[in-house]
Amino acid sequence: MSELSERELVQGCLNADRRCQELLYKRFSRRMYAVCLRYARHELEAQDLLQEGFIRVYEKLMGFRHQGSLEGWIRRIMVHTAINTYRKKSFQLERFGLEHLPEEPVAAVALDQLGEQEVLRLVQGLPEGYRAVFNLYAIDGYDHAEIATMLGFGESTSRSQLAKARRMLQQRLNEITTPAHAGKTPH
Amino acid sequence: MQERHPIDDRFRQLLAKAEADPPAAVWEQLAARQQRKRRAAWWPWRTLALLLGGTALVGGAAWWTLASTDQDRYAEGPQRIPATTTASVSAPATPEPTAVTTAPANTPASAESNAPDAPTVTYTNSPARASSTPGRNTNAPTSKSTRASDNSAGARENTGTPQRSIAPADKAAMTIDAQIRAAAHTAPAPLSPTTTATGMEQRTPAHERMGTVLRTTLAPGTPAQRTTPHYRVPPGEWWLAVHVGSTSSRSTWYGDDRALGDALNEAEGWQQQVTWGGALGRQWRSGFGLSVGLMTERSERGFRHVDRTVYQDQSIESYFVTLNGQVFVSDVDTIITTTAVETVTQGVDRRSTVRIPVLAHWQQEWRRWSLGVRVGPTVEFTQAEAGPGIVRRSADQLGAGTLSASQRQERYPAAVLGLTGLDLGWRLHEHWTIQAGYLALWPISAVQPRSTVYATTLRHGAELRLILHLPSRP
Repeated sequence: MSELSERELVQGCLNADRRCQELLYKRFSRRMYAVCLRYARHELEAQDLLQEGFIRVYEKLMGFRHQGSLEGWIRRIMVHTAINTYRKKSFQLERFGLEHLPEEPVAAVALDQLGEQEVLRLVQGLPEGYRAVFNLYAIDGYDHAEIATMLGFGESTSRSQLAKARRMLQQRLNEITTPAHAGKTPH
Repeated sequence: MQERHPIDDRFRQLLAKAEADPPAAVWEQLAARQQRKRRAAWWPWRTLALLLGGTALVGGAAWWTLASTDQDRYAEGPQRIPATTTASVSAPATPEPTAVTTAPANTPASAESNAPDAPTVTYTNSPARASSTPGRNTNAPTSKSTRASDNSAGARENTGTPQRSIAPADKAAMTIDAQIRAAAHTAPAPLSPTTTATGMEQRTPAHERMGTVLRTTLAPGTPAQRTTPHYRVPPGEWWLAVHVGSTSSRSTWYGDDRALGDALNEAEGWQQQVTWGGALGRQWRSGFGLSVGLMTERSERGFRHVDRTVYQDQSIESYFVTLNGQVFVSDVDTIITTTAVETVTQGVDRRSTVRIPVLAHWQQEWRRWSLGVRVGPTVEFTQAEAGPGIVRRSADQLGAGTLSASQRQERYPAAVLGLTGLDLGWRLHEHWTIQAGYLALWPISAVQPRSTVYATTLRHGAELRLILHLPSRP
């Protein structure tokens, strides 16, 4: 059963075969959960996104034409589910005064030192709008025009939020690599 | 062309192919949601299938009864012969029966036929018919069989001068059905249509013989034969019914605690139950009727509730690096601490419901078919067992918890509902009718609710009823 081909798996899901649905979930849930974790604020939200995303996958499998990879197709659905959830929220731009942060050089060494979990935590720590734009652009490969359409704002906003997200990440990376608050004296 | 940034590339390398294990509960919840969706998609088809099945059953019963009984019995409508009515059984119209045994020449009369204390009415084929079977044993002794005897054997063997008789004393004690059966068995051997040219006799099917006798019985005859009315439409009749059905139900929550009521309403969905019960009613000739009944059902529903509470604390810390009162470096950190607490409550919600409907009926009959509507109030009582449910934990917090039987009982007070039904029926037999119907029950009012939240339930579904029409007085 676990050696079913992609086509057989899709066909089984289309026939509402619960075993095939479970197999599809097991085959892709680990990678999709990582996608959801990037877009979500915390694990519980990521679990909701994963659940919602797979429901949509089962509903929309009829439209899968076997012309690309199934994983890529499911990943796109997960991303769209996350973005739709983001858009449904009464989101207010979080202001952290980052406009005044100086551009800092990227600490390449610092990035190399970080593992997957640390990097994921850094992304999750971004404010909601920044996180969405950074994920879409930097990791999932959408361009600003697509992001602007998906998120419902202008391309310039997308560029600006991406820049702010990068600056924020740089700042936090520097904080991690620099001994914590070295030389700073709490007042 | 996208402008790439070193930070993008590194994040992409690390995260694009990242994997993480989701908790097992995610799949369980996903599977449960899929199951609910399947059920939700399935129940309208199930109801439709039940209705079609019921209609097919009624149609099948109709076909079966039409194919196996004489249609003429009901040709004049759903009139019935009162069971206690006695009717004289006369011989078939052709040939005319004679009131005395006319044994052919050389045929010795039996001792029984000569006994004065045991008068018999004997059907005898005409001489012409007897002569139509040349070569047969026309000199055979007259066979006189009683209703208890094996007449089929007589019909096979005694083709020459078949004679059948029924003692009037026995006949008077028989119901009309029994007389019809007896007459069918004691009827003369097949008449000319079933006598072959070669004189070989074919057996007439029992139901055809019965039909012949019945027609003869019901035809206007001599005054002696019409001492009591054969057909009489009763002014009214009592009936008993048993029914089984499948209903879908959905509760709506009301009460003073609006937030809890809204949460309960949000958690509600359509449920399927099997209902069964019985009814007693009276139907008048006009088509109107009244009935009182008892309907019961039991529902079991899985309950799984996950309370997710996310606590988020945000604090701002400021740092300044000063030298001689001059600030060299300042920084502000926003620290957000997120704590998630997940509580799972699960169990089975079990309830039993009893309803007492008092209904008015109207029914139109056409031959064996009947189409009727019923409407009336119904009182509903629910017995709930202890189980899980959504509860108020504090003044500003809702969650899942286990309710005692009495707490859950208070949430389902007695209620008055309205019932409407549409029934299609088929008269299987003089005393039996089968009906397939659709019914809807909508809540009118709860009776003295004592809880801060209480439910009333809307139901609809299909039902199959088997009705026994009790014999009317003559």
